[in-house]
Amino acid sequence: MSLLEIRNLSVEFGSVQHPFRAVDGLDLTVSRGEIVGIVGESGSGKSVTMLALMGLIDAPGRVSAERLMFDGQDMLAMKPAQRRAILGRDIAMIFQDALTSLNPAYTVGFQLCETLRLHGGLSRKDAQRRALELLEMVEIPAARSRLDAYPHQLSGGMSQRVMIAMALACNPKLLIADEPTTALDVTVQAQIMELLVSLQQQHDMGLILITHDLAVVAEVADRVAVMYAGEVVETSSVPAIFETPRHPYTQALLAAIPEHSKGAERLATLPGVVPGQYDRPHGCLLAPRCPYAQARCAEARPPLFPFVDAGYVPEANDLLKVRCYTPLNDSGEPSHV
Amino acid sequence: MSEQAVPNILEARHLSRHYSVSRGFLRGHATVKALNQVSFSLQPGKTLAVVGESGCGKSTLARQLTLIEEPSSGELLIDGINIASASREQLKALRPRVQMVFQNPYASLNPRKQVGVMLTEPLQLNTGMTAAEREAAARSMMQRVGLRPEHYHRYPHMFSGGQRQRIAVARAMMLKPEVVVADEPTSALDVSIQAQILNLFMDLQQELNTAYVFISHNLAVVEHIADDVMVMYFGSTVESGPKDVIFSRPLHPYTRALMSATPAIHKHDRQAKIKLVGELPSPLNPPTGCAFNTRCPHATEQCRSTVPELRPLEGRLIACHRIEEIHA
Repeated sequence: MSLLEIRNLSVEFGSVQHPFRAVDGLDLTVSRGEIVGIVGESGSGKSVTMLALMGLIDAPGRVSAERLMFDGQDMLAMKPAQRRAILGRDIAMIFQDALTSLNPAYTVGFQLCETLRLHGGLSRKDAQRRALELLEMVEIPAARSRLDAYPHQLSGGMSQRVMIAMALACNPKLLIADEPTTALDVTVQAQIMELLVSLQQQHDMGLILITHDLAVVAEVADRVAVMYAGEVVETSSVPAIFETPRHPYTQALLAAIPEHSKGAERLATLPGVVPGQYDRPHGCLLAPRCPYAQARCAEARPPLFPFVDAGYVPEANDLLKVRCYTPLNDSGEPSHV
Repeated sequence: MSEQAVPNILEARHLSRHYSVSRGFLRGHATVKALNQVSFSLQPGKTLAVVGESGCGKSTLARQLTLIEEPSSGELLIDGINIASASREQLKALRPRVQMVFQNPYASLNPRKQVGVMLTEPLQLNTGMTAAEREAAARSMMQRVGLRPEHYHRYPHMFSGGQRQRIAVARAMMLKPEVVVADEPTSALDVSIQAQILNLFMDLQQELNTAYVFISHNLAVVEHIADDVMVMYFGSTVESGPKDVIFSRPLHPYTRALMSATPAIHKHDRQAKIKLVGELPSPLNPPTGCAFNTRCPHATEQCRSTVPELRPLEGRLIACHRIEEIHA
């Protein structure tokens, strides 16, 4: 059974008459011990999805879902108080910018203890001891002295470690990391990713890794969902998605990375930009930018199909799904089913 | 590094920039050595990539090269003219020849100015062109960088990040500079947009024979765009040389760590991660000897006591005492 199951999640902003769907019909499952990557460019809805899950979308934003199950409990049927008890304890989140996520007016120790006392019900003394353990777990040097440090006294990497310690304070079953290393330098990024993955394995957590960096996902994730303009366009396993992308958008995204076109003079690009609030096409959202677009792509939006191709043998628990009328075959060309 | 005959458009010799910072009441001043003895040369139409993490002095270097600040010591030559001994008139004539593109196109464009005004302003200040000529030049530059004619009267907030960076590039190119210093020009952009902007940089270079100093922390981008690479750490050059030499066989422990830490999509591109402990030391309290010794897996007593000199080795310059031992 999966730890988290989301079906048909939508997030709308704006008026009821003219809503803007930031996330449209998203399905996602995460199991214990699994790392799921969500990749996409800015504005693709990856962060909004997770904010909706955490109950952090304020009015006038509207969240709707067909099914939202976490650890066997139906989160849609829950009272707000019950839901709040789960969020932050069983589901924890790490944000992109650690320095702005920490409260500058309180010490690191205070902020850690607050979580522990609120969610874990620990006494002041036990919370202090556990806070120290947590800082040591995330490999902060001289952890004891850091308990009394204020966030501005920490470097970017250190504050992200504190954020991880805080997220793990109550042994969550699911950890959501929203661009956890984007603000960090590469050598520090490597340290933080290694720490995250080793903690995820130790605690057998589910980890949702949101990032725009395909390479980070390629190194650690088990499965990937690629988002474009609020929709999942492809879900697949790693490394299959990087070797044989099935959706034209995934293919274009990979081709745009300099690493991919070594030696080439020019980088492959996708013309244009992600459609915004007012210019979303009626049909497939990628159609205006897609090199393979046909007439029907502009007429109706394709659903997320399970992938079918003559040469492709699906595995037992096949999860490969593509939102495209003519998904790409093994040689990277559109197939005509 | 330089094949002779073609004169350098930009040359730095032992360029240093030190800042004096207050440590608080009654405690006197401390010196932060943001840039230490950096040397390089750049020929027209070539790209020098400066690589390093935050705090390594990349942006301080950019400020020296664009004459925004004066270096504390060392020499900077633009087209053979030493800026330290140049007269005011000479400096005024030099400034338009070195232009800059900044990292964040959301902050580098004046929100109250239309695109057309931003693009014609450099011409108005630096050339004797008439208004009609300026507009024609701006419009042709807009077309060259992929902006549409109707964008001429629009304000920056009406553009996406990628388009704004095109505007910033167009503005830098208006005076047909010989050198453009680009400080992380794509790090605020999405990958597909980054690819568009990198292509634009390369097209413009071919067309106008501009030399680039391309500052970046993204090694994949650097490998794509650079001719020469200079790796910096804590204000100093640790390794520099032609791109192919550095990327095919990085020697300095820091360069190697940086490359191994960069995540790769494909398994065969991945290297065993060299785990660096800790982070950059504090610039107020710099380590003695080699600046990298606090994080280097190969550091010895010698590294902690004496600063390694930059010396030639296998087609590059490198600053490390133990390089022969490490790679023996």
